[in-house]
Amino acid sequence: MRFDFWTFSFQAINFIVLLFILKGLLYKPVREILEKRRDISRKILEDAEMARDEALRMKEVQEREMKNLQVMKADLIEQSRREAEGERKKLLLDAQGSAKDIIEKERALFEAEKKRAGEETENRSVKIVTSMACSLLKDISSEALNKSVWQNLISEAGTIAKNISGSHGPSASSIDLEVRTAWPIGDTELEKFRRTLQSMVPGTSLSAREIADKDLIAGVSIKAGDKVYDFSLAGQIEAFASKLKTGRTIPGGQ
Amino acid sequence: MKTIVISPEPLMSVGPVIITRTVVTTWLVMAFITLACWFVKRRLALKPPVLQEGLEAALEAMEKMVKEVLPDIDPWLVMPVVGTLWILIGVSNLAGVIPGLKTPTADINTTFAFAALSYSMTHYFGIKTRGLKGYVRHYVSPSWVLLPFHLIAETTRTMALAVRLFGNMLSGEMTAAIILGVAGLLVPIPFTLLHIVIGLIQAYIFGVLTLVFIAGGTQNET
Repeated sequence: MRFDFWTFSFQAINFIVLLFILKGLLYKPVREILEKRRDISRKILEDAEMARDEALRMKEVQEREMKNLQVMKADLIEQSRREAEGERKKLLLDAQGSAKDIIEKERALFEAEKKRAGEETENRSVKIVTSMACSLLKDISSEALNKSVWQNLISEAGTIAKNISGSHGPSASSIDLEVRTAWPIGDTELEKFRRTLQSMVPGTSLSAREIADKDLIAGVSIKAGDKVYDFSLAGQIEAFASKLKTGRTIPGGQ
Repeated sequence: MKTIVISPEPLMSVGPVIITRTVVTTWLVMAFITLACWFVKRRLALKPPVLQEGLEAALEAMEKMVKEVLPDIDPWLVMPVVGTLWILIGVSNLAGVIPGLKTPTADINTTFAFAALSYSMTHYFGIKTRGLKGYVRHYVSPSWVLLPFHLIAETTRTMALAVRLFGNMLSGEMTAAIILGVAGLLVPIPFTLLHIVIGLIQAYIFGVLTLVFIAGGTQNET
């Protein structure tokens, strides 16, 4: 082991030469590449920062717009609610009006129906009563009662003659009398009645014929032309029933 | 049997200039490093391939280390010196593994040359950062009495730097040669692997110590 100046010097020079070689071939290019990459990274970071700032700004804008939209939405909801409330009230009023009309109509219909039912009930009642009265009177009807009615008729002959004369006028030359009786009255009685009437209407020739009709119960019904003079019990009951229907009053009743 | 030659082996001479085997091996190492760097430079790209990634990672690790030790100085000012020391010493330490080549760092002249450069760089960066007066002042602070001690300390630590590297490399080579002579062909392999590891560690230590010395020379005392 000895010191060799040339080796020492060469090695020192070698180091310095290699230092310069490596500066040119290694350190400088690699440093440039690293710097370039760092610049790119820095730029990317700056871009990312800018993008982040932009995103934050846009987020703020969007949040502001969202708040405005929320307010607008609340206003719209309130307005819609008010309009719906108004519409609801209007519809309610319309419905109430319609319901009132319908109720009125139904009430009128009900009243009419009630009235009709009442009248029908009354009619039926009158029919039943009439029918019962007829049945009762049929049971108690007799020839004597018939004669009694007949006698009353003869006593009322003046009134009948006046009516015949009034309704047919003085120009009528003959009148055919159709006498319906519940019980036979006989030709003699019939002729007697004709002659009594004839004497009261001298200008007119009267003829009479008897027709038996048990439905009359008792009494007589006289038809002169198109006029009918009913003195039968059935006729009286029918007149009474008609009075009951129309007048709603019962003669002699409370 | 392999002969271990501790003294420099002259290969040729040009006039008074003697070129030793150590120097020639160093030239080969330099040529290899230059070729490798040229090859890498040609393929440098922003989107790095695997080899470039490894290289960049190594250089960034160096940069980080320099930054940690010298936080007030641009790391790329010191890094070429320290980096070149690491690379040259590292590859030189491994050169001895190749049959027929002598490890240049197993020559005391080489390690002394590197240590002298390390010593010079310490002063260069010290003066550059603190100025000549400021740098000289630190040798006499806190008292001028300490000047010889400072000088002795710097000389001895530089010598220690050279001798440590030389001793480690020479012992590795000698161990491999002795075991090869005693045990046979395959037995020295584990020792060779150990020699590789030691070589890399020694290169690292040499560079780090140079860095620490430079840091010592550039930092102001408070």
